[in-house]
Formats: sequence, structure tokens, C-alpha cells
Amino acid sequence: MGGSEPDFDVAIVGGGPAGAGLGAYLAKAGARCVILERELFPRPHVGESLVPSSTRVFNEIDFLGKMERAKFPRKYGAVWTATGSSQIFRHTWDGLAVRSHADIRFAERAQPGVDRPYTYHVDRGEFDLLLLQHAHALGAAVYEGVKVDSVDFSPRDRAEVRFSMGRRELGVSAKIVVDASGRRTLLGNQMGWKVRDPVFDQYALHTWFEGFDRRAAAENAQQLDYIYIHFLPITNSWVWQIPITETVTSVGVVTQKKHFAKVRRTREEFYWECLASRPELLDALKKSEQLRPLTEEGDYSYAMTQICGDRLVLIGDAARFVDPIFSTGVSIALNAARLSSHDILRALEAGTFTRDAFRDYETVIRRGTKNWYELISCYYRLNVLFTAFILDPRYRLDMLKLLQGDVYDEETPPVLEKMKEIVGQVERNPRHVWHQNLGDLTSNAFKPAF
Amino acid sequence: MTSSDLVERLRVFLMDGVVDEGVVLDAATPLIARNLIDSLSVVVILNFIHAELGVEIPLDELTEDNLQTLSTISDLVLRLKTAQSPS
Repeated sequence: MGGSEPDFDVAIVGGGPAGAGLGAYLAKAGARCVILERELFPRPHVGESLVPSSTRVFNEIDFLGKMERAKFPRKYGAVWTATGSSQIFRHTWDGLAVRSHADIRFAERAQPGVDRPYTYHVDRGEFDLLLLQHAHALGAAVYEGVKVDSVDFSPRDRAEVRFSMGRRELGVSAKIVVDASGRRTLLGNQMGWKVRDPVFDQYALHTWFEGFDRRAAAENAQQLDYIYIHFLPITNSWVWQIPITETVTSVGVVTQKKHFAKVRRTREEFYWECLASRPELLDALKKSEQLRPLTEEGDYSYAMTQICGDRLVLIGDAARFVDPIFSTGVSIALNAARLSSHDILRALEAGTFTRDAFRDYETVIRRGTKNWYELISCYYRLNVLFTAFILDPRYRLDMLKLLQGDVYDEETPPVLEKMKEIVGQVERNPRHVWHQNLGDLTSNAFKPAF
Repeated sequence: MTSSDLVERLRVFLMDGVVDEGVVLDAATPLIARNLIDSLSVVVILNFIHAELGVEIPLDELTEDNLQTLSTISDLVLRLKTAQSPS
């Protein structure tokens, strides 16, 4: 087949936020790209809460107006609630946040390039469809119901993406292939780059409820549409509460796989048993209607030994997944689309497609995910420190910057250095009052190998 | 501020919203040995001291020795206040 031009400049495997976001950037810049999506959209998907750094991307690809018109619930902030010991927070001392809740409001910190004090909670079926349609409207070709089997990188001047339709083996060729296949990690698997994360082995069970009274867990009526993270009295375990519509709420339990494996219960029993440790939540959930069967998410927490190769770039969950605690999935996917689009467009311009052409993307996205990873590690290693930093005026705004999703521009943000330093002090000093609060994670959590 | 003033302010603060209702504290009540404060209440006390007394407590000072009684907390605050004052 040598001689002829490849069918496309770029073939993107997967039409979720990473793939559709990249398709939008590339099509807008005039590149010929195709998105190959296994499913027929809309389809349900986990990962329903965004962080504000997504807004920059929506702006750049002219999608913000569609987000607004879709009327997704606006997310102005986040609340973390603790278990038990609430009797110690009976009162609010004058002007002090003396509560069992730690909360943040995005409006507290102006974020460069983000023109509104909120982000969104989304029904991923609807959101992903809108974004994919947007990429199509900008000029990206979209093939749905096409499950890519493999990519052949052996031809000298192109990569061949292979898929089947019925009994027919088909393919498209492209100068560059981008893996945005999510946690399927199609090309990470094919290349043998995938490494399971030995530290995090999280597992989630989730569903939607109609008529859940969000006041059950809220202290403040202004915060009913925030995301809630409820700690559970089991190591590394928590519940998310995410508004999907006016009346529908997504509720998920995240725990370590070993907790679930140990109890030998059905998924339903385990899910409700976890929720029972927060009676106020359980009560309100029992009064509402479960809309869907429980969905489980396993195979969490992996990295890739490399995320770029010759003619190949991995973005979004296809490149890495750690833990959903800070609602970072869609934001990382969109920012990976943004960052990789620069390198891809430059490579197309220059006509060079070796791994080196994608180095800027690799450097910046690894820096961002490393920062997320460290924040997540601190969170699980010494949970009270996260609360202390959120409530401490010395650190609050720097923490907020991370939680807004601005994690890419500093090698290691000073506030993260400080957290790690204190974790180290607490680890080394058995007489520190927080020593006994250290979580299961070991300190080598700070030395990810990738 | 004298040490006894400080102990009194901390005592009122802790009894009013930090320790269990009905627990009576004095300068020598063993706060940690008797499990009267937990990890999160330490955060609350820290923020009270910062907001009301203007003293920043480095988090590595949160040892059992420093926090065992109102009297030791007061010593810690006064020591840091001297160290942090501009003169």
C-alpha cells in the first residue's frame, strides 16, 4: 500500500472525553482525523464530576456554550465529611470553621483562563455524546460501534488500525494513532507498557438514586449541589455523592479491593454494609429509589512505562489511572487532549512522527499526574493532614489550586512538598499526635516508578 | 498575655465545643491520655490559636508532650509567640 497517502492524519481509538476532546482540537486546526468508538453513544460511564480546569478546554474548543445549554448541574465546590466523633464539633466558634466538614468553594481562588466560579456534574452518557457530536461538527470523522482490535506499526510510512465488522477484517491507516480507549488500555496492553500500581488497589460500586434528600449530609443549604466525599471508617474507603439532575444523585462506594474480597458478600450486601456506617446517608438512601443495578469498577490503578512511541500517543485513562478521589478523570483526559494536540499538530507540520515529537506532552502530563498522585497519596496516608491544610489559611489557596485542577505548571508545588515533609515528620516521630492516624499506604507511595 | 490568661482562654474554647459536653478541664487535665481530644480536634485547636492569638504552630510541634495538657499547650504557644514576635 506504499505510495498513497494514509487515510487520515490521526486515528483516535475511543470517543470519550479524551478522544473527542482531541478530535475537536485537531479538526478545529484543520487536521484530518477519525475517532473510532466501540460503543453506540449515549452509554453510561463512571466519572461524573469535573474540576474547573476543564473550562479552559471547553473554551478553547468552543464547547462552553453547549455545556451551558445542556443545563448540567453547576458544581461550585466540594465538601469532605468525617465519620464518628462529630460530638467534638458541637459549636461554631466565632468565625472559625470548627466543624466535621472541610469544604472548598472554587470562587475563593481566581483561576487564570477560567471565567466562571463553577464547573459541572454530568450524566456521562449525555456529556460524552455532546462532546463527540461537537468533534464531529468541527470536522472529525466519527465511526461508532467499531471495536479496534490492534494497530500495526510495522509499515514504514503509516500505522494501520485494524477492526472487524461481522466477518470482515477492515482497517484505516493514519500517520499517528492516539489511544484514548480508557481503562481498556488497548495499546498499552499491546505494547506491553502497562504496570499495575502496587500501592493503590481500589474498587468501586456505584449507582443512581431518584429522590435522595441531599440535605441529609449537608450542613449548609448553599452546598446542596457540591460534590460530597464521605469518609468511611474502613481504610482508604469513602462514598461519593454527585448531583446528576435536580432529583437524581450518583452514589458510589470506593474501597480497597481486599476489603471486598475478604467479606465474601454479594456486591449488594457489601455496598449497603459500607453505607450503613454512615446512618444519616443510609436513612436518606433507603427513602429514595435506586434507578440502576450496581455497576462495579475494578482494575483500578495502573501506569504505563511509556505513554508515547513512534506514531503513537496515549491520553486520558488509557495512559494512567490512579484513584477517583478528586474528580480528576475528565479533567486529565481533556488536558491530555489539549497538551497532546500541540505536539501532534507540530509533528504533522514537520512530518516527523518519532517518540521524540511528543516529548513536551509526555513531560507536562507526567508532571501533572505525578502531582495528583502525590496529593492522593498524602490524602490516604494521613487524612487529617488534608483536612488541616484545607482549614489552614496558610495552605488553603494553594490546596484549592490543586483541587481546581491546576497541577501542570510546577514541577512540585510547594504546598505538596510541605505536606510530604509533614507526613515524613509524623512517620518518624511516634510521639506525634497524628502518628496513630497514619493510613495503610507506605511512604514509598511517594516514589512512583513511572 | 500571661500563662494563666492563656490557659483560661484555651480552657473555655475547648470546653465550649471541642471536648465532650460535661467534661470539666483544668490546666493539668491529661487531654491525650484520657482521649479527650482526637486528631481532628487538634486541627481545630491549631486554627483557634492561629486566628485568635496570632501564633502559628508548626505541624511538627504537635507532639504528645506539647499537647498533653492545657498548661503544656500554653507553654508551647508562649514559646512560639516569643520566637515569632518581630523584636
